[in-house]
Amino acid sequence: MSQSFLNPSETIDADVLIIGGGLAGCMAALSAGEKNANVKIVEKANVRRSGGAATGIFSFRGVFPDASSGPEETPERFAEEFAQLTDGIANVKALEIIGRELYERMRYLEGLGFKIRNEDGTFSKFQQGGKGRWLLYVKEGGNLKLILEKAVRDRHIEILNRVMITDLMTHEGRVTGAYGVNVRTGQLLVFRARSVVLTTGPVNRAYRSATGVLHHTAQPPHDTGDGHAMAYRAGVKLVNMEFGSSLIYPKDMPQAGLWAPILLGAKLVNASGELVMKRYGETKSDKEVSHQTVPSLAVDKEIRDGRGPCFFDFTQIPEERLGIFLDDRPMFRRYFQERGIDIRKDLVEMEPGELRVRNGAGILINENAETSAPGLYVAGESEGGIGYTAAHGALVLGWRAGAHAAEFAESHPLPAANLGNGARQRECILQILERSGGIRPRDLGIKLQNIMSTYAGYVRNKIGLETGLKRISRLQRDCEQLAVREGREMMEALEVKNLVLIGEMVMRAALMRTESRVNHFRSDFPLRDDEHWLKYIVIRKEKDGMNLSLKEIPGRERR
Amino acid sequence: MPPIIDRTKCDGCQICYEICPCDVFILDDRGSVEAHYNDECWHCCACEMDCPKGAIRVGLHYMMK
Repeated sequence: MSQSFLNPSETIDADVLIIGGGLAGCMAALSAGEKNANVKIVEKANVRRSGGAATGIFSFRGVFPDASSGPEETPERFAEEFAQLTDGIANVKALEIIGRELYERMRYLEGLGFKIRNEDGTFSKFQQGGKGRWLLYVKEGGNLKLILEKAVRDRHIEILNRVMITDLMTHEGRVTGAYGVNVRTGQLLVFRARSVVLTTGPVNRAYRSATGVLHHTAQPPHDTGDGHAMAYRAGVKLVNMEFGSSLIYPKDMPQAGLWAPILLGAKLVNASGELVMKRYGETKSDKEVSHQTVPSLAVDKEIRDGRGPCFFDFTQIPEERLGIFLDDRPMFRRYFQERGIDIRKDLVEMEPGELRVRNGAGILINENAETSAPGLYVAGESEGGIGYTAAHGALVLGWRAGAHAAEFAESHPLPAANLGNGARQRECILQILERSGGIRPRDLGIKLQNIMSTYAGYVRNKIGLETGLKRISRLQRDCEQLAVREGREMMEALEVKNLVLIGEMVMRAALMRTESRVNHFRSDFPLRDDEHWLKYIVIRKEKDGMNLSLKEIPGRERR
Repeated sequence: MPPIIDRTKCDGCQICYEICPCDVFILDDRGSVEAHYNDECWHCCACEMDCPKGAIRVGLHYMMK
């Protein structure tokens, strides 16, 4: 690959630099902008259609005073129930704030032109867990990112699309900017910033999807944990990397959005026609049944135990309700048509999808989105420690991250550019571009997915994880042999290097946690053990390599 | 194979090339858009939603059919 792809670097300054222009990143930008900070957003794709909200968000979780169904719907209750979705590995104080402030953020979106109400001014709410009706359904959620991008541009906040950030710039422990590269032109960029908000999303591509095609993940395939990896390399603390979530989706159709049938009353049945969730409802309390990860764990177990395949039975759902989720995701309609499935009459085969590293698995933050490094703030699904966050967390913590980052910027001057690291960045990318006859990023990516799914997937144990770690360390050596055929492939090479690092974090944390909780199932330690393991596993880069330690969960320190 | 461009409707505005989260589209020498990296399509349908001429339809990848 020719060197001509790599263009000389340019230095760009900002008060607040936002890395990742998804839901959380846009909210952070708008919030920091309100404090009159000079804000810039760097985005690997295009802010108009990037991140998990790319083609819309149709459901938001929180407390809605205007549409309350009863006095039990309080932020405290919300936090308590949502902490249970991650089996207690959560920051209850932060969840309470999310539950309380979500409605303010929804009203803010409404002010930007996002429709959250029905034509008659009412709200569509659904039960999710326990007694509260926390889930707000938004019919016209498809244009959310278009509205946010316009709001950002209207406020003269600069957006740099198609730029991948490769590493953070640090000075004496403070995060002072970032290094990036335009993935289309090869232009190298150095960003100096008074503070940085990192919102690069969850890790969606570490595990093999149903079709085996690298990019056929249920959620954005370019959410490759770039933020997790660069934070680790900068010495920032991460937590809970052994956890995550997964969906069920129609056989060979890795797409999100079919959680809705459970809420709407569709039945999940096994090969004998038995209700699947009834079996798992016996061991799990019913408030957990609606959490998206539980059905996938249940279906996986049914199949392993010889009771599969499993199916969704939509036949009892009223026509108008069927429309709700079919309209949200047009690909499902096409899939049913292609396979000759009439969901009004036929059962739909469902399979457990790939694991995603999220739900509090990420960079450790507090309720103000502060990380262990001064000047670095994290929100959205890169967060670590908060718990089940999704869109509601992105909106609230994104907003808070932007505000706190702007405040930090007020009292901290712009750093002098650390150009030594910039040169190293260039060298690293050049090596990939100039190497010939090496390992292609696509092959390495598929190999990693296979290793992760085999040894750190739905079922884990000591020998498997140790085997997986050995394979991962081999992949780390292979990363030094990555070679590309065209400039465009450079991004995939950089992504796969990040994914391999994340693979190591997941494996090490999963090996350390000798119990079972949420999606982390250890066949050699099948029971949940609150006495020893109601704790975070903290991951940090030390001089001698990857260091893991235990930390009390916020709010539980005194006990 | 996703996405399919209807040449009789496409007016070459390049919005799909601008917004595609997976950078599936390329521009040829004459600035015409082509869906090239179809194995990398995530089936999010952003191109189909944003095409002002209704010229794009996202089909299913062979592995999904």
